[in-house]
Amino acid sequence: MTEISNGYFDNGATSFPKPSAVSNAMSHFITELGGTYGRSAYERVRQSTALVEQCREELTRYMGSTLADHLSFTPNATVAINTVLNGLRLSGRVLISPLEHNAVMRPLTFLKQTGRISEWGLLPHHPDGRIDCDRLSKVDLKNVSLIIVNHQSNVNGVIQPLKELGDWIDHRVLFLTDLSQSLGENTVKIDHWKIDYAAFTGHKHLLGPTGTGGLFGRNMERLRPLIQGGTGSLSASFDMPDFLPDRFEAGTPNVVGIVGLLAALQNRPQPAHTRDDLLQMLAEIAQIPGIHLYRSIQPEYQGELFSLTHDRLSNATLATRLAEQHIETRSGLHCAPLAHQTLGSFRTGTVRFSLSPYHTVADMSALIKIISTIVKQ
Amino acid sequence: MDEKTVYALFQNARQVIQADQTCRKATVRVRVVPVPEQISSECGMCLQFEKQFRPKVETVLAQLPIIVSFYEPE
Repeated sequence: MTEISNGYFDNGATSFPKPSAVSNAMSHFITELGGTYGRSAYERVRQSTALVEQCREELTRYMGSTLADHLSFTPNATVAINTVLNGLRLSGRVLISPLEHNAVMRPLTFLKQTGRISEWGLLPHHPDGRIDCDRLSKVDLKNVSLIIVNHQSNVNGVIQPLKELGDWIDHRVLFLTDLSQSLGENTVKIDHWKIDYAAFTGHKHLLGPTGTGGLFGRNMERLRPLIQGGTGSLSASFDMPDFLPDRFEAGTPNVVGIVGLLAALQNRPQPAHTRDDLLQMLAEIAQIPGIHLYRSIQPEYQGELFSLTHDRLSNATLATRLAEQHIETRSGLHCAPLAHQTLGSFRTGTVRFSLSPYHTVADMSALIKIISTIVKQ
Repeated sequence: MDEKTVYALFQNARQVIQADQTCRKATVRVRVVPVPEQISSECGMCLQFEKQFRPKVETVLAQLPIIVSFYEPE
């Protein structure tokens, strides 16, 4: 069987490897610096606090905004999404893309069950789940309080037209996007695209450690905090501060993780493959007999993630055979049953492959050969 | 408290760090210190500097979109 140098294709779950600077920075923080965020005023804390603020500044710039105060750190994107969905005074309907993750679907279902929204509905879309911008003009925004769109699907890698959606959405309707599979891989322009809220994670395509993420919000004053507690500010009051970012950062933040995320932002690797290489690989995999590929219909909207199924081999069997050849993938529903319903792969799901900048053309060639060999056996 | 010392007070730690870094870039000598309990408990950190530097600190911090208040012990 063909050998593969980097067989880790589960970067959609969490990235690996990280830049070596990430572990170096985290190790240095734990062994040399330490110190909490903003709770004291000695030099160690000043330095730790400054690193957290530097990460906040760099992340905000990376997302295409200048409003760094409006970026709050959270443990992950799920907490950020829950902060928005539980913190807004929603009413009426919520419209979503057909490729949403359960990080959105479960809190949204809870809101419907508890009567805080009347229903959720799908935006018009193509068969691959991409929003059909030509049909948006027919969408009735009456009684719609929020629109939620996952920038890049975690099942087929389709990239959604956030700019076009931002231009279309009525200013009375709020716009939330989930950047979990997108930030670090695709260009994001929060301000330009008129996004009200954006949830992101640090450990996927930003190449930072787990336990890091955040919420960017243009209209944070409309949100009630999900978590209340100490912030190191306004300490004489039992009320949460009304200023940012403190209002949404109760409790000691994950300083060591944020230090690692900062190192990841500052040491991003040059991609070892091009976009054309990715598309060429997809074209070749699509030719393998028995393989059904789940990807963007239009190549220009394809992210670095895709899924497949096989006529004969189950997803679990295929993933196991791949793992035996040192190729690590994720099979199943990927916590995105709605996406699989949209794509016709519910309930069995797919086998997902998610790349990183470290994958070379040689890795891609090896992957194609190994898949071809496995399905022939 | 030292009568020759001035304290610059901010809303939160983020603003303290922004102010500290801005002053350092402008080569104004400031120190991050705990907020004296006689003043406020708004935020655990504040900036301390010599009274003679107050005009320069005020000028430098005016560049930032933050609200700062100054306290001079009598």
